[in-house]
Amino acid sequence: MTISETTLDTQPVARDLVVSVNQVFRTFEQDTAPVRALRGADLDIGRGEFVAVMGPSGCGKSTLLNIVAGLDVPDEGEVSVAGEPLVGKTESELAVMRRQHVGIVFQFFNLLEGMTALENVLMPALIAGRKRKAAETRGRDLLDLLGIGDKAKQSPAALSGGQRQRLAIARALANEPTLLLADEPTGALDSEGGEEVLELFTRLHSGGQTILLVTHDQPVADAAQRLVRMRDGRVVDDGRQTPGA
Amino acid sequence: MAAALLWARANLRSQWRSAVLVVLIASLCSGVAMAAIAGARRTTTSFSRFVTSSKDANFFVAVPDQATADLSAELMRRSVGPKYVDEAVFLATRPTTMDKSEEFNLGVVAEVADAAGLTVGIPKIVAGGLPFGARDIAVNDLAGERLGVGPGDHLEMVGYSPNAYEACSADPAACEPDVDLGEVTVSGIIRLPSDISPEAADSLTIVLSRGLTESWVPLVASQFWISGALVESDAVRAELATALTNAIGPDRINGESADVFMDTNSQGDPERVQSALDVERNGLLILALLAVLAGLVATPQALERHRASAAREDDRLRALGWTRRNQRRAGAMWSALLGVMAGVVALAVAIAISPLFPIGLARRAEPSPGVDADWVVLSLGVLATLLVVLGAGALVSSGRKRAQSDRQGRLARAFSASRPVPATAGRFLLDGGRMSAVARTTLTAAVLGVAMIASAATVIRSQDYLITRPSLYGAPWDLQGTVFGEAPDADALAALNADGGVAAIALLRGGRIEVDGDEIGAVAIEQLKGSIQPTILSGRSMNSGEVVLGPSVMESHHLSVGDSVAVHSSGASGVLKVVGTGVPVSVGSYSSDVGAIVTSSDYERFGTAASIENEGGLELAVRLAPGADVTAVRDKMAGITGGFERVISDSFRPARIGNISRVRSVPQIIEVFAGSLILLVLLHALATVANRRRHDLSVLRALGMRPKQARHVMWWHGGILATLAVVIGIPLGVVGGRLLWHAVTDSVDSVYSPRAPWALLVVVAGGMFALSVGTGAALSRRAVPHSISRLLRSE
Repeated sequence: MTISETTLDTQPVARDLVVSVNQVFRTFEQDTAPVRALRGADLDIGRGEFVAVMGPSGCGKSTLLNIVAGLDVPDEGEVSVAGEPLVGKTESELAVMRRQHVGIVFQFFNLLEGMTALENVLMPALIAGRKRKAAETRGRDLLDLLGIGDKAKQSPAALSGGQRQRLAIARALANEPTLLLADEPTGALDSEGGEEVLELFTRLHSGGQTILLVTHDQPVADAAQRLVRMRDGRVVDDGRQTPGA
Repeated sequence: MAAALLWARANLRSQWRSAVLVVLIASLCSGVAMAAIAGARRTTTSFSRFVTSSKDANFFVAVPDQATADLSAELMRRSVGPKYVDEAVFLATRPTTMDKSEEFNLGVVAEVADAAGLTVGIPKIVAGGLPFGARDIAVNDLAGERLGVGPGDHLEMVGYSPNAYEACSADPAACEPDVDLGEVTVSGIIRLPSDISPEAADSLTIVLSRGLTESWVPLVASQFWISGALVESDAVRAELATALTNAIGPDRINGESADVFMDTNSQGDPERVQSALDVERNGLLILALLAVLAGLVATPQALERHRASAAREDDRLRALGWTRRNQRRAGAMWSALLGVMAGVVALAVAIAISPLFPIGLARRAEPSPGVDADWVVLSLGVLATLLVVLGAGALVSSGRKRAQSDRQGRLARAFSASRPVPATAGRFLLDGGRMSAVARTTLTAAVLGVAMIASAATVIRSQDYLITRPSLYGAPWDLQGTVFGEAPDADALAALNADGGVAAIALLRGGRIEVDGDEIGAVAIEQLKGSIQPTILSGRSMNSGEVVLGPSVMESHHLSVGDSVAVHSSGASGVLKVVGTGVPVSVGSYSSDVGAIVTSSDYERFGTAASIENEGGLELAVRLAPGADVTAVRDKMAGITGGFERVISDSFRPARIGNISRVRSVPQIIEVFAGSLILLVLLHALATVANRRRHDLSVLRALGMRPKQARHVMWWHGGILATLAVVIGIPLGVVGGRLLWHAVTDSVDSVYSPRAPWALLVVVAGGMFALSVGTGAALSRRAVPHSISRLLRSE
């Protein structure tokens, strides 16, 4: 079975929950005053959905994404990913959860500059304990699929912004994650690069990939199937939309 | 300027840990160098200051009775004034030793006057005070150590009555002290000129208070009396010698023969002392040189690491219009600040470790050991530290960034095949496919440090091996003793020959031989049983018609192995072929310039007969068979050597070998210094890596690496650095140590026989690994933050 068969060509299936966020609170202690980033956020995402979270700066959307990714833990509330509750898990257990279920694309790519493009893609698979040969085959396939197969041996520093983000996406897909998280994925790109990335997300979604994307850019949010609006640490609007409308 | 100041302030705030480590690295090297140079200066002057502070007598008369001693002292007082005139009596007491074997316990007891200015011969009080109390004694530090006493301790003493002493002198087995001298109190530990002499530093001395001396003199046998004075003028010395000779001639003392000698050389052979001090001074200068070299290598590298951790800030400032000139100016200001701090810390380090110096004989002579501040050296050292840091800063900021490669190099590929944790740890050595500045500088300093330790350990191991093997420096036999008479007693020799514990016997005959027109000391070896060959440095041992020459003769006559030399004596002339360079051993106590070894037949033809006057003698050398009963062999030898045979491994230690054994602490200090340098460099490097790679580790955590795995990356990184440093540094150090040891053995006329300290090197490798991994582990929590989400939000 190839990647195109497993990831891109599979149609969305019935709505079983991949993400469940229930009354989540998160406060950051600052020197001046505590910052209440999340104040009872709720969000459910079904398998195969492409959800965009929008809102003004400081509304808590990145905090929500970090909590779903297991990079941060809520002060209160319930969170589960692919049916696994995250609250109460140790750092180590959260890391294992990420290996199995989550791929993350960052605004500033967060590529490992000391490694080649291919090695960046291999790393999550190797961390997950996969055989190097199998990981390498999948890594090359992913790079080919994302149009940067000829850059496999190059350092990320040698790639353009769009290429770097495609590389970051390839890396996020290395372990065939249940959920792809993207934090402002086009924020550091020019319009052409941004369009490339959005097109890629759309293709991935049409292939059945569940995507949760955080943005404050309306055109980016428009690419998603469902738009969730946040304000003051809460979800204030959750509605389906026609992608590209 | 204001921007540069702001930059420096911000740098101090954000990079203070790195700055502190840069300062520590520079100041460690500089401080050790300063302390070593100051120590070398103290070494040079220690003996003269000791002698000056001692006010010791340098002119003695030894006589058999108190009356003559008083007369001598009176003549001295008239000649040089009351100052520094002293009398001492040598009494037969226990516990102290007169000879060095402790088998014949006779006391060496001097008197000390309690009047100011009359404490002659007590140059240095190591602890406590002088013996002024009625039952006080002072002991030299060796006696204190052997007897296990210190100031305030008590000793029970016994003595020999004149009759018992006479019996003891006739038969050592009959030595039995018969006078109870009661309990005495040790008032202090003292050091005398004889304790400084390189070859006589093992004599035990007890000094009594005047009261105690007066009460013991009637009870205990006196061996002889000494009157001494400090005579500074040669003319006065000559006059005094004549006056004394006239005054205390044998006929003047109740018909008894007065054993009069005049010793104008009481300071334990100043030339030998000075040559020992030169070796110690050179050892300290080598230490200083190494510390300076380490500083010159490690300081710019520490600054380069420091710069690497701040480089990103520079790029951002450049975007704000910060020019390279601004950068250089601010960099110079920053370097000056670090240089001043390094200078101040180096000053503190140098003063703090000053009690370690001087070493060896100079340490014994040093009148004021302890904390010392040589302000000339310290001022220059602080200035040099500042200049080195400034220069290093300029060098680092003028260095262009190496072009980054888009492609991964061979080194990068080496790490790509391994598992994620070691692969990441390996990749942390690289920047853009090449070794990073941090890794490169760390490895250079760590390799240098490991090499220094391995070198020093090789020298110490080889030195220990050499010192315990007299065969390597001139005495390839086990027992030696002076033969009384023209030839060994035939019966005793036959008995010795028949002993199964004796592997070889040879007669060593000392005399003189004329080689190429110069008369030099010679030793002839006559084989009596088995074969005893001289210590050969190059070439081979001699046969008839051949000669082995000492290195100094070879050098002064520009000779090589294979050359021929003309030999001449009153009866014959001839030619001997030089077949080797060897170590001619002195025969008897007088041959200090022996330079040739010949067979006994050639000696018969060309040698000049030995006598006390022309520095000769006849000695018996015995090599033992494995497992021999040494006591039994010595008993048989006693029939030839009169009980004065000696075990070579205990007694044969020429000054040149003693000198190198006294600088043993130099390589030890080098080991500690290099170890400290490695620790600081690793701490700096791994702290820099922890700082620079936090983001990468957070990314890896986001990709699913467990916190423990991420921390293990730092462990592995430390381990890889240690492995590379050990794999490169140890062979380099061993080779360096062997080369150094070659130079040392050449300079002390001994066989080059280096020893590799394998056990220690294993410990060094393990220690280096543990240190590096441990430092990585200690810093791993800093490198792997608990909350990674915020770190990943910023680039």
